[in-house]
Amino acid sequence: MVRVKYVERPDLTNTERIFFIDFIKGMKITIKNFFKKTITTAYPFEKLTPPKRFRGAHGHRVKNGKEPPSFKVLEKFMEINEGESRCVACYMCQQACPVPELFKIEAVQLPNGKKKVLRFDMNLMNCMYCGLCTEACPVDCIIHTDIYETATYHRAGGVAHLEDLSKRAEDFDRRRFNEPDRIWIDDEERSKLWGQIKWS
Amino acid sequence: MQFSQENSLWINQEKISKIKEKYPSVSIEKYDNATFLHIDKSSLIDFLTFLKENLGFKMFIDFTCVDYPFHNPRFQGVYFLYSPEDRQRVGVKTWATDNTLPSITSLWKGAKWAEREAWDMFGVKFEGHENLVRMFLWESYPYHPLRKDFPLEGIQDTYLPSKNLRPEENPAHNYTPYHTYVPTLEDLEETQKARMPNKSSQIVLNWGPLHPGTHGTIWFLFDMEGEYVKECDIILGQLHRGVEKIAESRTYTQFIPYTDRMDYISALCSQVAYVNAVEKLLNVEPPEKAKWIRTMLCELQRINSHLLWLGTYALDLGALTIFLYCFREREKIMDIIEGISGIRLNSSYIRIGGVAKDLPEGALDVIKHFVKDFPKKLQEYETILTTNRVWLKRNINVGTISEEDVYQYGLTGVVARSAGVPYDIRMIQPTDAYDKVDFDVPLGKVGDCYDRYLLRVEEMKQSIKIVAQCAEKLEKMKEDKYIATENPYVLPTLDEVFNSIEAMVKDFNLRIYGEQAPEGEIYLSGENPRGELGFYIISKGEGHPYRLRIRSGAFYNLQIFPELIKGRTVADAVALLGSLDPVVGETDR
Amino acid sequence: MAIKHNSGIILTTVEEVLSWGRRNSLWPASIGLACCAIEMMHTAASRFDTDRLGIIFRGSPRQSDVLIVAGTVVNKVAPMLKLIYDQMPDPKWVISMGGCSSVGGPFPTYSTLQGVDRIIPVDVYVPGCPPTPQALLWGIMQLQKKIKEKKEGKVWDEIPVREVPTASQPLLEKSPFGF
Repeated sequence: MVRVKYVERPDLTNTERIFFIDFIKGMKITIKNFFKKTITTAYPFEKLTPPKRFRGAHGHRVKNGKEPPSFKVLEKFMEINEGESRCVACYMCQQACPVPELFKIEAVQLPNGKKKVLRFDMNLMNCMYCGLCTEACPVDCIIHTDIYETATYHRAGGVAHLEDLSKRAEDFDRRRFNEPDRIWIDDEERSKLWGQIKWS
Repeated sequence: MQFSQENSLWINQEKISKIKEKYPSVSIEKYDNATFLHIDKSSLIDFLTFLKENLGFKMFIDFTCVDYPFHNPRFQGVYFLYSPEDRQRVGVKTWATDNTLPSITSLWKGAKWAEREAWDMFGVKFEGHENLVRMFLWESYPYHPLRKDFPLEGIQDTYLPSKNLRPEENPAHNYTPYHTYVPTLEDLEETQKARMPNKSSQIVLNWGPLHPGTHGTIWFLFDMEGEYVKECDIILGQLHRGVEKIAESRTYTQFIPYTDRMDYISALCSQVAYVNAVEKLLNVEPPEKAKWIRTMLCELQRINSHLLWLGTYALDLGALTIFLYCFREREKIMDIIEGISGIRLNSSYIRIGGVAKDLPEGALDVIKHFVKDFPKKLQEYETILTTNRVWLKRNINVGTISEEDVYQYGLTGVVARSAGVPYDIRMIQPTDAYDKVDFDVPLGKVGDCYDRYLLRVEEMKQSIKIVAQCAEKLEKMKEDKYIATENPYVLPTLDEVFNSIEAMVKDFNLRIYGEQAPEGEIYLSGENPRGELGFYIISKGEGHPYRLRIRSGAFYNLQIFPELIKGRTVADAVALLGSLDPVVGETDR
Repeated sequence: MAIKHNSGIILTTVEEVLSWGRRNSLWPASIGLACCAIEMMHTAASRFDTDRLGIIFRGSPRQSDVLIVAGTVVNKVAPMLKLIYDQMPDPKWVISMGGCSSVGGPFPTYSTLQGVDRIIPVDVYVPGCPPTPQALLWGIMQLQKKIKEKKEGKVWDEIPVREVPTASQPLLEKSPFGF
């Protein structure tokens, strides 16, 4: 049900005007806030941990026994060893991306009939961090890690090759694979801003 | 069914019969979601005058052009009008023979900028326009970008390598040292002179493009007499990224991240408006839970946007502490959105058919804590500002807008409601769960800056009411579906792709070929915090749209600024610009 | 610490003090153009404070030493940006924040400048769309590290070309002075 209503325009009364009551009321609020604790997170000494769904830099998961059932179907066409990235060179991530020029994927056919991924470059400075590539990968290979400190001195520092991507996902999984899907996990750092929240 | 209200939103049969009596050469083009009338160019002005005066279509919504390169004549002009008493829309189409059209600035003043943009993008001339210059690009630019034979990357003929590289080095696989032409300062001076051809004073003051006081890169030219402004004009285009041209080569899902980079302050509202338009075109119905989640996040983004407005408006007028307090509340909302979707600012969370992921555990507890805590803080900010005598002196009777201005210029959003016109898309054409929640729409009486300030604060209070109702409803829906994957146009979720072959094949087809929409056209709009954001999509049966036109509320709202500033000082210009609340990503697209 | 010329004991200490002063009081002239400007405002607000690092945002380029370009740079704005860079006094540095100003970002169109380093030289690139405030603070700390190791400007042979960060950085320990 939607209703329409008119707003009232308050105006200053004469007593308020003579005794400066409007300024006094405002100053009371600022002085009260002056004595509260600050909400600052001192960055390199205290950090806010990003939540599990955070979309930071990309990574490639490796073949380690925790793959989904769709990988078993596609595995027989590929030559992948234990510890290498699971990519099956299906080009779905490039098709799903709004900026397809940032990918450069090359795969070659070996003499025994299987394929091998030679080159997988991603220029992360062109990337929008939208997550459409992670939703398109059929074998759970390309994921978003929580690494956001990626400032460099040179343009080429934004281009990630296959080994860098595998190392990033290994680091992320080692720290955070078994976490529950909760809105955030660092309650003490966030309690400076939020206060105490009643969890159900 | 949820959309039954809009079939009566387009023009009805008795008005069409009245039109056919007077103009028998009119032909009607009817789709499910739009009705267009075709008229030829010579009787266009009489036809539009008849619609405006006799049938009540007083309000001007939008004007654009479409390019059909294999048809002769090549360009087609499309006008959208609205009738406030009967709550109906109509579209009028006409072919531009010899690439010219008569200008309608004598009927609606708001068409001045729309026609300048059509000249800039397509090359269609308008007879009777007072100063036809380019809107977004500089004066001596030789091409017209939105024509179908102009490539997306432009004509790259200048050699402009990066200054940080060693010679002959190639840092990335998509780097090329060739670039499009970059203008010089003389080209920009020519643009500035063409805007003010008959200036009467000695200097023209530039309230410049890169200034911390304008909200973004807008270029104002003031023709001054002492301290008072006599004439004013605005040069836009300092953030023109070509989003409408990008849409013609991307599929419907790939375009979703671009919609939230237009109005970057309230990103989720723009995504919801676009996805609603595409869902109507494809005839997809999202599940109940997705509608309630979308409504709740839209209202949270509305509070977010109004808090940023209050912080920067108070900062411009001198009240510095309000800036820090408002940003403290914004951090809380950004934490909520980061926990649900993944990124704080440009979250692309909405998908066709529902939302991308379900709500994580703990999200509703945090939202309930926010809902309890926020009204007290809002009361504190009101006490500091609302009856403060300095605030009253700077805001009362500055920039008064009348009801006739709203119809002439096509003003929407808070700017229209401050003049007393009850135009709110959530009331007229409710989508998602807006027809199931209770809220009030505030209206103003006088139409000055003080009214707009009071309205925005009141809207924040109403939005908190809506969020509380949605959170209560979502508590009971914990196990429902959040995306309608059984529909053939909707992408499947990752769990389905890992476990079944049919879902993997459907995923492959939809991503490579796009959502093959049926042929048709649609115009649908949503209520942004800035006004009405409308999407006009023409589809020819392929996976990507043929033409996507974005009707942005901030563009038409900014057009009234040169009229209102005449005879006032420069200090009032700061207050007036802040209360119209433009965002440059949306005005320039 | 790479000091280029051999100036003796007294002048090297003066160089060290000057370099300490310059990197702990960077005053930016902020060019906030698009979405990255909102994240820059959040970095300056109270939760992730920039005032702790000595950063005060100045309005005029003649009073600042670092230029933070935040947002998409369009062909029309490029000559104005070069004019602002030329008005800054030496020593000066440039941080390019976000994907759009580093390489043109997700907009490969006819009107976007594909990277602001085609018109002015850039010191630090911070990728992200938009980068979170903690990522921008990390980028500013990288600039402070660069100022400490060289006096100013770039020297081609000494910048390592490809260092791609592959792990998340640990927390730093507070020194006994408390900062």
